[in-house]
Amino acid sequence: MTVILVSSDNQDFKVDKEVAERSILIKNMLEDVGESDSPIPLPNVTAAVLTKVIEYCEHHRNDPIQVPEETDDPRKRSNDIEEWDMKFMQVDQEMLFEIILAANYLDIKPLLDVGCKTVANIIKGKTPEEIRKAFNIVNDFTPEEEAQIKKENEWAEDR
Amino acid sequence: MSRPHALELPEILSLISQHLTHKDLYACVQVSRSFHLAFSPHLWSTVLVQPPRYPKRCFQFSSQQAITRYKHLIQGLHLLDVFPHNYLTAFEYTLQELHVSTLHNVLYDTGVFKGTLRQILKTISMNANSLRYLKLTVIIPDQSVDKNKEVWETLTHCRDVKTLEIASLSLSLHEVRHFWEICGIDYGGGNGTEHSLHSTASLPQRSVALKNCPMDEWPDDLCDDESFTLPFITSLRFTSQGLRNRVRMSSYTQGRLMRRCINLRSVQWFSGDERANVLRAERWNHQGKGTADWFFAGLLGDISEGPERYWKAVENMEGDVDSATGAWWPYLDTIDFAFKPISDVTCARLLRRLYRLETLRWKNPLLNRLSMEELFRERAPFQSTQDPARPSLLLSPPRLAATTSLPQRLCTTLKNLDLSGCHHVPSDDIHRVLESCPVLEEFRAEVVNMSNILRRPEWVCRGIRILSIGITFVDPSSSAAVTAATAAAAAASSTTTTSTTPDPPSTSATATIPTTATIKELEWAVFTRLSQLYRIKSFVLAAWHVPTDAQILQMKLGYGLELLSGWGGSIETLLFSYPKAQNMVMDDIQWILDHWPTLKAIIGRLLNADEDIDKEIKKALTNRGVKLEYPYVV
Repeated sequence: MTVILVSSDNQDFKVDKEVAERSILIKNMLEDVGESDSPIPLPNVTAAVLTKVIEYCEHHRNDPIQVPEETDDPRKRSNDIEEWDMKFMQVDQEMLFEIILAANYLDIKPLLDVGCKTVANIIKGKTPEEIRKAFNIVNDFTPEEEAQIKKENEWAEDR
Repeated sequence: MSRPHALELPEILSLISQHLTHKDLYACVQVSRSFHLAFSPHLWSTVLVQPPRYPKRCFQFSSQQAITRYKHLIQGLHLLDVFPHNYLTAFEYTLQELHVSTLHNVLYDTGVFKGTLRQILKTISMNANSLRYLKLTVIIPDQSVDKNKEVWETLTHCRDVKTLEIASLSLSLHEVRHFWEICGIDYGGGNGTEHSLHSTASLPQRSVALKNCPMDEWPDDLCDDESFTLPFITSLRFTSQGLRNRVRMSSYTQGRLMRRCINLRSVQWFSGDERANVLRAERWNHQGKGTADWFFAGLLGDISEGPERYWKAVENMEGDVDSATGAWWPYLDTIDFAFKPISDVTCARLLRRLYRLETLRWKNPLLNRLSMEELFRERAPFQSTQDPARPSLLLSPPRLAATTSLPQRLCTTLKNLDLSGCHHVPSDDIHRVLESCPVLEEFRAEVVNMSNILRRPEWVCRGIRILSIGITFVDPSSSAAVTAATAAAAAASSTTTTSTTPDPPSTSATATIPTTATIKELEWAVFTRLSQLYRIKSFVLAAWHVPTDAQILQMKLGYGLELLSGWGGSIETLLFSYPKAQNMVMDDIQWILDHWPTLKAIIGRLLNADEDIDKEIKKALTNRGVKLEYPYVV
């Protein structure tokens, strides 16, 4: 059984129901709507992003539904991104953040996780200046502010 | 675009922060104002303050100010080796985690410490309602016992603390006592071993871990102080996960610890079984001989001059059961001890301490008269209010709530008694078990001489389900019989050290058939008693260690088998566990098949010495579905 997803720029995407239901939002929608054939509009997701999201869901269509783990320390989990996922995430930054936003909106937790881990990996080990360069951010601190913040947070540096 | 950037959504920031270390977050907050705003809460939720690694960095002052500025963000505070009072002033009602460790750099003199301690306590009090995790790695000086009381009282206000760790290098028994009087405890032995003591369910659910406490160094005057009790501990579990069976706490100290637990219901070593009221040792891997006795020495508090002397005493069978009263466990009802021979005196001393015994499995070749005597001995009725040492702290056992006095003889409650392997137990005592244990369900013993059965009272254990004994007939008065008995005992105990020197078995032992009654008469008497066991499920004739000429009970028509028709409703297994053949004939088997429809198995190496008859018998049994091998646990 297939469903039709419509991106914000009015492009139609035919996907298997099983694939579409990796998104909890879509899953709930389908349950409410029932056996209707009407297409599902996704006003927050452009076609380019939707393509990537569908690609992810297709690849992971057979994954078991993840149960949230509470016990382990998330800081230790950052390294374990699958190779396919890693390649999948090699996109420009704008797309990366768009995917994250889409995954958040569509409620696709594994994709959201992978996206956030990827961002975390970009941040890891960088100095503030390098982070600014990576995300194209302007430094809007005054020099005094910058010094103060550096000093009062110094306890964290050796952690 | 009008949509927010991903890095502006708090839930996404939160997810990203989870994968970042503090160092990364430190970099992030310096990036820009919005990053600072976004990541500060994650950075500051748990703060770790420790001395600067490089002396040039003197951030402490500015960190103190910062902590004051950000205190509303701080949920967890870890102060390692810094003056804690500099950092603690700010907090009220918000701290969920507090970890203070003052081991190395703090000037440890009482003046400075007292001020620090006061500050720590004040902070704990002010955050008592929010604290969920509290770890104090502080040295509490021995001198200020009163101060310690203050510590413990402060700690009791933390009603929601789920995890409390107090790792102290010199936690003295004074502190331990104070604290344990206030709440339940969970003791951790540290370094990969774990000794956990669980508080009862009826007390507030709290878990306290005392790590690295040198329990072995409890001062003697206190460890034998009878007024010091640990009433909240009802179960003890000594495990050693990780390290291969190396238990940190010596067995002596384990015993001493057990002494303090007056409401003890269960003790376990290496076992995950949660059965209550159990004293069980499954794999005793302590080094050195005598550690079991050593443990019991600590347990029973019988040491006056140190363990070495006690061990010598044990070896020489010195000391008596009456010495060193005090510790007892009125609720301990199961003793399940395999593997280690423990001296008869020590066993007796332990049994003397019990008031209620349901299960005793003690495969101990040294078990003898003294221990057995404890099963039948009358003891004064137990009254919980009687003992001044433990007037009000004794918990009333749920099962005995209705009664104020406990049974006066252990044999009256005994249900399971396993004395297999205990070759020294006198025949008389085995008789007494059968005659004195009304609720007995399972009884295993070695050889019992039933030559005097005609003079003995009736058996009261009519409801027994499993009976495994070696019923033999040897004239007890004949010298050959005495030699035979000691020879059997010597043969059985050749690998253990025992102080009784058996007669050398060089004189060949031929058992004399009793002259006072014919063998048939005696067997008939035995069978009469056996027939009264209306619920018997399994009957085992276990007679491996009898002298070769001794007469073993014969399950044959004409000797008394015909009296056992009453077994027909329940008997499932018949087992002949001795080297000779029973010499049953086809008639016997036929009778059995006719009268015992519930029978599932007859097991014996040779039911008849004649191999042809044996084959015939076995064929008849198999045809009727009776198994000839172990179908299940007997």
